[in-house]
Amino acid sequence: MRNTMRTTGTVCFFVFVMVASALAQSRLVSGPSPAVAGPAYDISIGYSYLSMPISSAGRANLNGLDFSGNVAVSPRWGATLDSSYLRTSDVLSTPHQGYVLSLQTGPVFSLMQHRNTRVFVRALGGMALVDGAVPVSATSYFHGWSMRPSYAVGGGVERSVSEQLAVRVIGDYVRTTFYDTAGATQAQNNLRLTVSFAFRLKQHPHRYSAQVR
Amino acid sequence: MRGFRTIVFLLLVSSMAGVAAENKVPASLSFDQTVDRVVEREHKFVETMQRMHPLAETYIQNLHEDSDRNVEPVNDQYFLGRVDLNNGPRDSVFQKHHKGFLRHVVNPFSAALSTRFLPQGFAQMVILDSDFQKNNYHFSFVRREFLGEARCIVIDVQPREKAPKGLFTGRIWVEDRDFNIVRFNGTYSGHSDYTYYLHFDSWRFNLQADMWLPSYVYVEESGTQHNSALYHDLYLKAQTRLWAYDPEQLNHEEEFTQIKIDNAVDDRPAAKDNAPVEAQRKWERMAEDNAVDHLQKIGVLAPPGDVDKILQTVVNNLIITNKLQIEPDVRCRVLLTLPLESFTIGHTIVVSRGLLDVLPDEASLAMILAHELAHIALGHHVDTRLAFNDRFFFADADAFQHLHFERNAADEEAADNKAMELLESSPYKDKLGNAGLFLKTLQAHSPVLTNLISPRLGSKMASGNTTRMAALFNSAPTLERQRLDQVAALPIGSRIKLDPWSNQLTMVNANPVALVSPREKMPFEVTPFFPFLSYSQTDKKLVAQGPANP
Repeated sequence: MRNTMRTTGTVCFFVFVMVASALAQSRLVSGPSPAVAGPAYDISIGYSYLSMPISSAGRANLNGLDFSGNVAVSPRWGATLDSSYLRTSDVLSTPHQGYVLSLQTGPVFSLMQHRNTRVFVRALGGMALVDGAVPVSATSYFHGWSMRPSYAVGGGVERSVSEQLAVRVIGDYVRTTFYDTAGATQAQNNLRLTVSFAFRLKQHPHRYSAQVR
Repeated sequence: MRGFRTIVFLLLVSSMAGVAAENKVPASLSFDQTVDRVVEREHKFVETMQRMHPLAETYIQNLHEDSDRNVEPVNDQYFLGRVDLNNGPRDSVFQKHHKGFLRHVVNPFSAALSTRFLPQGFAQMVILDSDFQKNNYHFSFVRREFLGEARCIVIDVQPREKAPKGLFTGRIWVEDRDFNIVRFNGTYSGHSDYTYYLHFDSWRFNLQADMWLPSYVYVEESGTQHNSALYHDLYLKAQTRLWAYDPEQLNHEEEFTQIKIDNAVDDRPAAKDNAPVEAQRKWERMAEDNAVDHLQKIGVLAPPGDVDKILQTVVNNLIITNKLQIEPDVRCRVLLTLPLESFTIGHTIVVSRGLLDVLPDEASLAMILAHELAHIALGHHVDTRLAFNDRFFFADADAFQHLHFERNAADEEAADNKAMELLESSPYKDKLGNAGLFLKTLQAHSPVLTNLISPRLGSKMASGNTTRMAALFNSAPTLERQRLDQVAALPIGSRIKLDPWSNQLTMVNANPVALVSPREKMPFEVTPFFPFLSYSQTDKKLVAQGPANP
């Protein structure tokens, strides 16, 4: 399972890097040249689900909220700052309430756009605080927390509902760190699914400038 | 015999039909056939435009509405470039300064994180659709209407539901003689989150026989309304003007082929050597001529014409009344660009089209010309580096970086003082109140309209708390915006009309209009275009020679 996840992560990473660089050379939107271009800002809030493996014990399911701020700086490229808080009331049937708090940032690349739908991939890096428990027997468990660097690679689909509002569905492979039964740190290969609403922010004239090439 | 007569009759009819087709007298076409002709003409237009490389000047004023609902410019943008539509619209933009490397290092994200106006996006507005296909649009007839002397069919054009993004949506005016689109008004559909299309009103002029070319584009956007289709706060007005279409203006090869010397005889009285002073004057004149020729060649200076004569008359008034002896003669020329500036190149006074447009009266023009004449009368420095032609071996777009005609502060002050002397002895001495008011208005707008007031070649007319001709500024009456009879500066485009093919300038031929509210004064402001369309002289001849009833 661990190898599978690692392979998945590696493939996702290469797909992101190679496809992105290949597609960046083509235009996302064909048609007339626009007269105005500028960063598009949005903030999003949504529900997030995380499937987290616990070393030698199974997978814990966490649910929570995801917040993010996004900026598109070109028709294809953008950046995101993503924060999520996910929790479970009992980690693998132990009485311990576990949670994962993450703050990650990184580039977003739009693969394609058709009418109101956009498909994108992203790669994020940052920190994750994992508070969890590891069952060592039927009645006992270790619990604790670990704050280590983490990263995520994934992609999603965005559908614009109106000029101001869009719905996003994102799937990520998330790499975090926690302890195993021996107390040693162990990488975790998590899967995260997020459904969120994105609210676009208006642009203001005082930021305008002429782009001269 | 009867068979012979029939053949002759048929030949006569077919030859008359041929004449009718050649003279393009429209037969009665169905609306569908009319649209076919429009689409066909538009394809030809796009082909023509791909061969053309006019200059395009865009001036944008960002607006703000205050709590009293007064709308005023808050800042502005300007770009001038040569259009190239071969691979999508691209401009080679004339820049005064290149952005330094340090600026990118200090703030590498400044470009990415600010909203930018794109010159090629404004140039794009001269093209309705680079691949105009009938099956991508719904066409609906609106009415017939005259735009000037062009009788037009007005048609609403909307993209079909399954059509690709970026198609034109709006209204087109088609002249009913050759079915050329002469005006279109609307926007492009389907902007993205990152890019915006603006609403525009694009006009084409019949500049040559069978050739309608883009000349004016007016852009207006007021996206502050909550129900706006575009989710942005763009609130602006802009004008794009195109000129320098004539390819012969760009390369002087035609002149070479036209040189004719018939029995040339040197009829000067006797061989005459030049004294050192004369040689110096000739050297300076050569530098002056080189610079003037180069500016005209690249399309930023108008060829000699009627407007120059008006300026020359005012200069002569100043020279004669002040008994000035200036050798060689003072000449006047007009820079075709908008930014407000005047400067001298040797003994040539250059005033920008934008400055002539906004000056309220002749006395204000005299003030501008007196200042430049003072530089000449005081013998201020002439840049003789330009006597060497290799100094002009640079790309057209780099002209503003290589040519400098600005003066230092001491020369400017001396010219101001001398100009006051010249004006005091001139016929304009009792009419200088408005000139002072013009300077006051200029100074009031200088913090906001920085691009309009920034010269490209000469010295700045106003900066901070100082303006040119401070004595006139101080003696002017109080500026009262609410007074309808006090018009201190005119809107852009008030006085000068530009022929986009030949670059010739003429005065606007409009009736005087009585203002009904202070809002209509619009000093230095961008206004919509409403030109009088007319057929080129060659096309008129075609009609005159065509059979009345084939």
